Amino acid sequence: MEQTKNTPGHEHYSNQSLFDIKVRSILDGLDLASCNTSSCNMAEIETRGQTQSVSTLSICTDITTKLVVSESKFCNSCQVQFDDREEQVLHYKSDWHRYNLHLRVRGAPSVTEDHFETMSGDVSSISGSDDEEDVEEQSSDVTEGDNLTPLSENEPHGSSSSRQRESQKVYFTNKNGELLSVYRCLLHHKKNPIEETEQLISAVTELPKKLRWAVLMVTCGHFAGAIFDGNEVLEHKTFHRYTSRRKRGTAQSSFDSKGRAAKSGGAHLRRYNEAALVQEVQELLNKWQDLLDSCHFVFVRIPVANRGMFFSGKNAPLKKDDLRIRVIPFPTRRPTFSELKRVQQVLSTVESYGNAADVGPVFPRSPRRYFNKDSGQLEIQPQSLDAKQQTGKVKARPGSAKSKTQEPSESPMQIVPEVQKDEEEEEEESSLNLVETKEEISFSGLKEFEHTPKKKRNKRKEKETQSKIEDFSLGEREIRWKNSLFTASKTGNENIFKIIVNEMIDHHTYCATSVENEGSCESQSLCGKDSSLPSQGLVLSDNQSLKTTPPSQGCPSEGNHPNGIVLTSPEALSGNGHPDGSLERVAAFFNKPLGDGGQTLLHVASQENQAQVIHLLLEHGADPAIKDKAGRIPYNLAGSESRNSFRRFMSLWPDKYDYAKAQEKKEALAKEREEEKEKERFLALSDREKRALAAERRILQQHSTDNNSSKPVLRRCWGCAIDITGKVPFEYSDYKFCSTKCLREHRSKAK
Amino acid sequence: MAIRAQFEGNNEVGVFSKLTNNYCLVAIGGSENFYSVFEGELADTIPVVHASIAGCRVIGRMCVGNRHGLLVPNTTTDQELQHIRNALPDSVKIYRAEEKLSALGNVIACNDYVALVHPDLDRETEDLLVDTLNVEVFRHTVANNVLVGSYAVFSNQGGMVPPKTSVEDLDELSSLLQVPLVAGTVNRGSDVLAAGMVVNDWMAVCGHDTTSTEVSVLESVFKLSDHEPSQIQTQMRDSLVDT
Repeated sequence: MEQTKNTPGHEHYSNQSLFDIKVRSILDGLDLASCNTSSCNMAEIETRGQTQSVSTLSICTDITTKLVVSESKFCNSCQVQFDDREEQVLHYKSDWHRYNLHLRVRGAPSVTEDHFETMSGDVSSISGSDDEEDVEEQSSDVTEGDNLTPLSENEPHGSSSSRQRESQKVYFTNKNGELLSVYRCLLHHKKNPIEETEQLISAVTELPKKLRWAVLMVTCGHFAGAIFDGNEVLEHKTFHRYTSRRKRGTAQSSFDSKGRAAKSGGAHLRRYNEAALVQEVQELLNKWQDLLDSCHFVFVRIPVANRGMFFSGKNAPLKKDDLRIRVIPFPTRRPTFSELKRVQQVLSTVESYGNAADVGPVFPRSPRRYFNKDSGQLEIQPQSLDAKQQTGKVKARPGSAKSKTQEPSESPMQIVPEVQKDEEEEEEESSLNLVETKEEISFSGLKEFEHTPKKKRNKRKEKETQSKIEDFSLGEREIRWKNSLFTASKTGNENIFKIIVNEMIDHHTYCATSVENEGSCESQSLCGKDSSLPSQGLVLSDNQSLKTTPPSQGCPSEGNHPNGIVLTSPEALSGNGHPDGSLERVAAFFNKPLGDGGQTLLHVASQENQAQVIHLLLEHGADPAIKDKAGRIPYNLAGSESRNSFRRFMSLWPDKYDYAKAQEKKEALAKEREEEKEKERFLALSDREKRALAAERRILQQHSTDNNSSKPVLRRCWGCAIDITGKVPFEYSDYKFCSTKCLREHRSKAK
Repeated sequence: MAIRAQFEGNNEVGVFSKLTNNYCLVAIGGSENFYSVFEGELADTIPVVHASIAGCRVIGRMCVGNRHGLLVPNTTTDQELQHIRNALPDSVKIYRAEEKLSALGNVIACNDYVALVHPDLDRETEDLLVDTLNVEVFRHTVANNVLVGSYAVFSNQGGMVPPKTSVEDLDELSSLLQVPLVAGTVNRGSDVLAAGMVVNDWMAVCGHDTTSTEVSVLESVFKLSDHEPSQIQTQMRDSLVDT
């Protein structure tokens, strides 16, 4: 078949299949084209003057003469001369210049401005922003692996090395002067290259007779094989086995060979499949053995890992040293039957580039071609159309773009680190600009968060600090008294208790007298002398007080003497020897609450059942009616023994304290509590019951006003038959009781 | 003067640093040797800043800048940007460029007045370059290579291009950039000039492998030597040296 298209730059391009009879007329009078050999290639490069190898040494020697700013206003890529700088600057911003730059990088000749204007319709968009799409299109759905100009492949390096990589294609001219190309792999095997022109030409002319080809491809568990005779398919078969590891993508065997063989179910599955695939392929190829032997070429795409499938083992279907085996010289896709057909089509085409003289000494470029599955033919893609078609395809299958044959990039632009291909994403990102703003936040209206527990803690702290302050105001001496009295009442140590009580009494009497005898030098000096030693000072002040006050019975002569201060009788307590103030103060001291609980010394002593200490305390004026914070009097806390001491003291001094008061208060308290409980119960009642209760009370009142003597019994407790008229009853399922006790009893009985 | 340096055994100092007339960025490295080379030479005059861009140490290839500003790729993190912002003088404008060719250092070469850019650079980035770096922008190639930022290096005094550049192209570029250009190499023949060296108007740092010939070339083209080339090197050379 033949195709001629009007793609720019490919006006004279045409395809011809080797299987076509017409091809023989083309392959007449062949001669090697000038663009073939490496030497020619080099010479060509030199003549074009595109590169210039200059040694650093030579630069060094004549550098000083060169250090001037050039005056030439000429664009080499567009071949334009500028008159002034402004024009020059403008030119470098033009699309025409950019297009020529691209052409130049690809090694193509530049276009004139007029030409560019006319073709700018075809060049859909060459602005930088859209160029990515173009690149994508080119790489995504291109079927030809040979689109790259061989020149650019050979260009950058290798010019120095004598042994150059050979081009995939061999170029010929025929008798009509047309430039033709065929794939090199059709002409000779890699291992025995043909040097002579005659041999090459004879190999080409022989080609139309060698029509029986086998194409075998295997990758990633996919196998496809077919045997063609010209355009006819003799045999074909494809397999797929799950062998490559999901997502990671290497074959199970290659992973296992790294040392750590996986034991997962998937791994076993893949190992089995690999073995099964090898077996299947070998069986198939052995079945095809006769046909394979008759083939002129066997084109293969076999990864190294799968070589063993074909070349090793007892019944290897192919031999390594078989010269018919050729590697497919361009990228292929997943092995499928249509891919095999495409490969066969591409390999079998003789490309014609028009007149050799027109093309010049440069390697000609093939237009992009794609494989039409329906017709089984290669078609040249019209450039203006393909953009739309392909973008459509790409969008329909966004994920598949990468799996396709990636054409070698046409320009080295690809080296630049790529960013995301998704245009939408990019747009989103580009709209994301960081803006720096200054915000002022006012702290004036701030309020503490309601549920922060800080406040509470603060309160407690405040209290603590307050109590501390009080403590300090008490003075060191009083703290000492307090502490030792507390321990004494706690442990029941009478002796220490008595000593301290005497100390206190003496101190207070001394203080009182010293105030009276103000101005007495003696006392002042004594005080001043011993202020640092409070205990000694006490003793001394005792003496002082003894001197100044009339001697009394119970007054201790010496503070340290325990027996001298025993106060056993109430007479002694109310003795005349002490000024009234001192005893009162001591009593006041005893009645002070000690800790957070609001307990007095009497509370402490009665809690610990220290009967003796209780007695002493009561003698010195500790009030048994003082309640702590929980509302308990010391008597409530006391055990049976200490209660006796209370009672004994009461019998001795029936008038000293208001003993009943404590009890009364307790009762009042109990009543209050009961009332509260009753209120609660009343609130818990339903409205109907409340009304009933109110009615009951009304009846009760009426009766009481009618005749004072008798009260009607409207309701009785179910348990004990007590009259509960007008009271809020305890109840469960219509049974009403006077108390919870009755209720519990009734309930347990019912059960 | 030109100094030789290495970054952790690597001669491509241009990859790991960015030197301008107003500031110097140095990659965060395992050892401080590389940093101290710059610090020792520049600390009195311009800030030398440790930096990373998008978590990479190849800052020289990622960003582009001159004394007016600095462009970093959009992959730069906020933290890195803030750090650079804090360290550089206030007169330096710093912007993130939303450019798909994100290795800005590879695609843009510039001095304080002109920039040579990759032919496919976004228009928006071109505008950003004009605004941030105060430069005239030219799309061009160097020795048929689009990665102008990697292959060409120039300061306000002069510039170097790879040896493969043709004489005509050299002339064209020189007239375009308005600086004298010369073809040369660094690091014992590497033509990836911008990767092998960094330069500003008064100093250059090149890789350890750079030969003395190469150093003398770049010192003369960037006018880094303290004195003018003597007559022996210029006029009398022909009579003295037989070539």
